[in-house]
Parts: sequence; structure tokens; C-alpha cells
Amino acid sequence: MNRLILAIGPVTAALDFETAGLRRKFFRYFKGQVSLVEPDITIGISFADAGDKKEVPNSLFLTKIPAEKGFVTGDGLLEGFPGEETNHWNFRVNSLLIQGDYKRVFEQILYQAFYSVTGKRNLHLIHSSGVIWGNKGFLFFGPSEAGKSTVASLSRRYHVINDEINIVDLEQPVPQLTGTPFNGLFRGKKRGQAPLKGIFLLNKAPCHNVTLIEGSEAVRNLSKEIIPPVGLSDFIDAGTYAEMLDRATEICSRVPVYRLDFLPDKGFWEILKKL
Amino acid sequence: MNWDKPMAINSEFVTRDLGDEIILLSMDGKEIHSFADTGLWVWQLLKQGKTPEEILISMTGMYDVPENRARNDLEAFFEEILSKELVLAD
Repeated sequence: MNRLILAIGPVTAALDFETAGLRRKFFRYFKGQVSLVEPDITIGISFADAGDKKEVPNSLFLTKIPAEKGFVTGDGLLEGFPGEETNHWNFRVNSLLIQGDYKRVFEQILYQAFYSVTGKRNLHLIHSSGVIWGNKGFLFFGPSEAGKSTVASLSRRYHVINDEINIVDLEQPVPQLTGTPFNGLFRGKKRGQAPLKGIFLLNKAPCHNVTLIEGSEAVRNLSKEIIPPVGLSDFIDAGTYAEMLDRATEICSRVPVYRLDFLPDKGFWEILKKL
Repeated sequence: MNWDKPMAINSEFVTRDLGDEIILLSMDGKEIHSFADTGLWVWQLLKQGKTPEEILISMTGMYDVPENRARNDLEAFFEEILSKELVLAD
């Protein structure tokens, strides 16, 4: 069996490939963030030729629709069929979806695998950059182009765990920041976990500054960056957005949220280290 | 805008109470609005079915504010929430 078991924080997801070459390709792509423990979910993956498909939609959440058995998503690029055992799925994937940067879209189905395992547990995938300094976790978030990968790049002398998707774990007495195998633009990420010191809304500005933000300002900004808590059997609906808001509210009640005004240089760390 | 008719809260928005603030989220997740302070107080009265005129009377009774100024401030608030379709006039 050509099995790759990914470690997505506390969740392990086994990907069963048809060939050893594909397993190696994905092992390299996920930077070896693998596990040897029994998987929480197993996914058999088979690939079909790209055919005449040329375009990949940005979201495997918004394009996901129910099919006779399971679901279809990505405008037909990926089909998912539940297996007979709990938490076993089979995917039929158009090869276009694993070419070049499209692999980052493919990863979205693995976010859904994560939520299939964790359900309503207090574990949250956040679109963000995560950095550890002095055994403290710093989570940076913001809308597209806010500077998540820039911050990761400027933090390379510290321990960058991910510049795309991180996990906030509120099941521990002290909230924890944990990385994931998923890929952004930064190439030097390393596995890691640390107590979460703060969450920082990125704002490009003429000088470095940190300001505590509270209430709806924190919640509304963070809720937009929570990965929709949709499992493989689920589909986005109105309740999904309400749950994202609830998850953001829960996180903001446990972890301080700041606005980080920053220039594209390393100077902001001098302020963060004093928090 | 009719000052003597209650406004219907638009049920297409999900509300979440943060204590001293309230958040309203559209069903498609694209719009988020929030109220605090006086806006939250007015929103709670609207939810109780009070008419704009009744809210005006409550406001001038509670706060030391001239009626014409309170009316102007409330009108601006109501027009804003009507334009955002957080409430429905009919």
C-alpha cells in the first residue's frame, strides 16, 4: 500500500495512493509532515487524466454539491465517495487539481477531512501565518494581501510553522498554536506547537504599532479567516457562517487579539517581544 | 419612513450577543454588522416591537437631549439600518 499519513495537528489522515511515485510526490509536497500513528481518517485517492479541463475554481467549499453517493466539487474535478467504514473515503481526482499551484486548492478537501474527524471539537483551522518565538505562539491573520507570507518571510530567523493554515487548539488549559502540513508561499516552515500568546490582525502602515482590539471588531475580522467547519459529508449553508462567527467569538474570548500595524521589515518583532 | 409603525427585524440575519455589543451576520456570510452603546439600546427596543416614535419618547425621557436632535439622530440610524436591510419597513 502506498500510504502517506499526514499529521494535521492532533488529526492524522491517511492518503492511499495508487503508486509509490505519487506517494513520494505528496510526501515532498507536504514537507514530510507525516505521522506513524493509526489514522483517524483514511482516503483512497485515484487520479483521472486532466482531459480538456483547463480551469480550477478557487474553492472546493463553495463548489461542493451532493451527488448520488457522496459529493462532487471543483466543478467536477473531484468526486468523493464514502466508504463502508466510518471515516473512510475514496476520491476520484482530475489530475489538473494536483498540477503546480492548484495543489493548494486540492488541499481544501483535506481541510474538510480534518473537520470530518474533529466535528464540533474546540479545534479551529485559521487562514493565517504562525510563528513561534521564545516558546510563545504568534498568529497573524488578515484578508488576502494583508501580508501573512511577508510576515513569515520576515520571521525566518524564528520558527515559522505555517504561512497559510494553522490550528488554534482551545481544548488545552492554555490555548495552543499548532502548524499544519498545508502550503502557502513560504518555503522554510517547520513543525511546531506553542502556547498562543496573541492573534494579530495585519495592517500595512507607515510605522510599527500594536493595539489591543476587542468585541465585534476582533470577532468580525477573525470569523472571515476561519476555515469553514464543513466535514466531507457536509455542505456550506447559512449555519456554516454562524458557526464561523461562534468559533471566532470563542477564540477571542480566550486569546487576546491585536491590530499589528507594520512596515515590511523585521522591526515589528521588537514590539511583539515586549507584549 | 413611518414613525408610528414598528420595523420588522430581518430574519435573514443571524444575531450573536457579545454582551455589550451585538453582531448581525447575513445568511451568505458576506455581510457583518455590529451595534454597541446607543445603537444596541435602540436595536433592543426595535426587537421588542417598539415604533420609532416610542423609541424617540424613551430616548428623550432617558437622556438629556433636545427632541429635534434625538429625532435627527434616530432618523439617520433608522435610514442606515433600512438601507442595509437589517430591518424591513413593511
